[in-house]
Amino acid sequence: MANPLLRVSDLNVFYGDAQALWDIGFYVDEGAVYSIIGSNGAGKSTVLRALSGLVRPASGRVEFLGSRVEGKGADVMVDLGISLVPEGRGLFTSLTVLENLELGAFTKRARPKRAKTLEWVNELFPIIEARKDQQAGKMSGGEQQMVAIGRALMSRPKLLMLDEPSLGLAPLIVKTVFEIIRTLNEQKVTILLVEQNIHQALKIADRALVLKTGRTTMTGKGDELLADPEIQKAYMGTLRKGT
Amino acid sequence: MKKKTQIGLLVLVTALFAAVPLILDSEKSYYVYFLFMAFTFIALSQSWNLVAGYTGQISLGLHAFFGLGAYVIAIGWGQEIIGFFDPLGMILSGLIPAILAVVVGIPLLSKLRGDYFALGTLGLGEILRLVFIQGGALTGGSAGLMLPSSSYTSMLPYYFIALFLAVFATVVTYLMVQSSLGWALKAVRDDETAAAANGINILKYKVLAFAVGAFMAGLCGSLQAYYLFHIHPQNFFGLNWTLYPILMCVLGGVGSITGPVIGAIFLTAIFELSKILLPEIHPIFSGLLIVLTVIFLPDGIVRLGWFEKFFKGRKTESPINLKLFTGKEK
Repeated sequence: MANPLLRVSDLNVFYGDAQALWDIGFYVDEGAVYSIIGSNGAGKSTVLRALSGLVRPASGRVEFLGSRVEGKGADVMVDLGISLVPEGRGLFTSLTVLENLELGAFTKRARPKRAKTLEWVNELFPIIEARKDQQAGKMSGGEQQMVAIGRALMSRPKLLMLDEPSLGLAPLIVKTVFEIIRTLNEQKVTILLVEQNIHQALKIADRALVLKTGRTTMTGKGDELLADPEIQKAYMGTLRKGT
Repeated sequence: MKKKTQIGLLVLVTALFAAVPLILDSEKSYYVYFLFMAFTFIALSQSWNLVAGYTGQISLGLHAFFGLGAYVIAIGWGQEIIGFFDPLGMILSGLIPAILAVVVGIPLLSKLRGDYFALGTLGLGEILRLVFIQGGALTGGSAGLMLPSSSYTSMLPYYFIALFLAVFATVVTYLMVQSSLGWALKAVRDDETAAAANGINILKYKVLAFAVGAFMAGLCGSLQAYYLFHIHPQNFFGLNWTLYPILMCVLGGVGSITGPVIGAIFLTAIFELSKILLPEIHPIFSGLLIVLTVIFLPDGIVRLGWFEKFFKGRKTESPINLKLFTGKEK
């Protein structure tokens, strides 16, 4: 593809005086799944926070659909089509599931299509539709994650960013979450995934980037990284050696 | 409750209160004065409810806007710009605090979160109190300003304006939280990061709620100024004008429309009774009530089991974290 959907180059982010990201660069093709992996505190979430406009990068370029978007506010980013499922899901816990979903279509671009998008989301997550009048904070972790993804989809994103969707979920639910990501991708949603569950994240990814203390240590195709001995040693423990 | 029932209930209650002066002698009856105070507290409670209960920004600066509204009337009347029960003057006494809320709210709400925001607003009240003490002839210093009390003719206009303010604050809050704007406010309250990630300009909505709340508080201040005719910093910038409405909201039920109304009427009654029966220890009594409420009833009267069953049919919880007052996580 000639032009990627998202191109990030030389991204530097600071929290106060502390530099969290050093010269991060990568690109996400339209229709792809791109994973950012790394351990705790590597800066994975910071990349997503910078891309969604929640933190302002100190320098660097972010090109989305061919135009520069770095430094724009979060509300502008969502309207442009970059949507984030925040870490820990971030549901509006006192509101019902349906209200959460409807709030997802808050932007001017998404609001007129709300009813139609809701149908699509309900089709993707039949469990959610059955529980639409329940208070969101009272649902199980897996269900909450589905509502969070559904809510992000309500803004009709061109790029869906997921921040550790498997966090705190039982292994079986984690599998379901990754199946959902795969289904979404089949429906032409481009996905930028941040994960600590490295094995799953690499398996699903077309391309991936490995972050370590704010710097890029490796990039490559998902399956190549999965087979890389360095990655296996550093992130997956020795049990995987035999496979 | 359905929307029609809600509106019907509002009209009915308003009509009942409006009929009270027909039965009681407004010049002699203590109950008319009591309801006048209760209505003022309903409006103040709704102001806090909108900012804290629906937007999640716990403000301790209600008295700053209340006092400022009162001083707009006092200074305006002294300079002969504003007259007695001047509608334009009263609107001005709401607008000026609202403008202050925008000017102060933008830096406060963008930089400070949670308890730090609460302390920032507490500072605002202190600053205003000192400014008005140091204001020289314009503000009358710590003795304050005396207004021509001979203008007083009857309790009736006070009663009806207070009733209007209570209904106004309740209806404005109701309309705001029922619209898509209300969704945005509640989203900001429940999770700021997620709200921003969903395309909600969080600062804009926080400042808006803060300003509308300040408008209501300023109006209450102006009515109180017309009633007391003596505006001085110790009373009008007193912390009670913030703490009582908070207590009323919490006791009645934060983040609900009926909660502040119930809480304000109930607590005004308790405070008035304790003033009569326990005049010496009244402040201790109020303090004790605050402690008991946050320990035993942090979700409020409207969230008691039987109350919810009767009106709503489902159990809810207080949507805001009262950690600042209770010291424990929700």
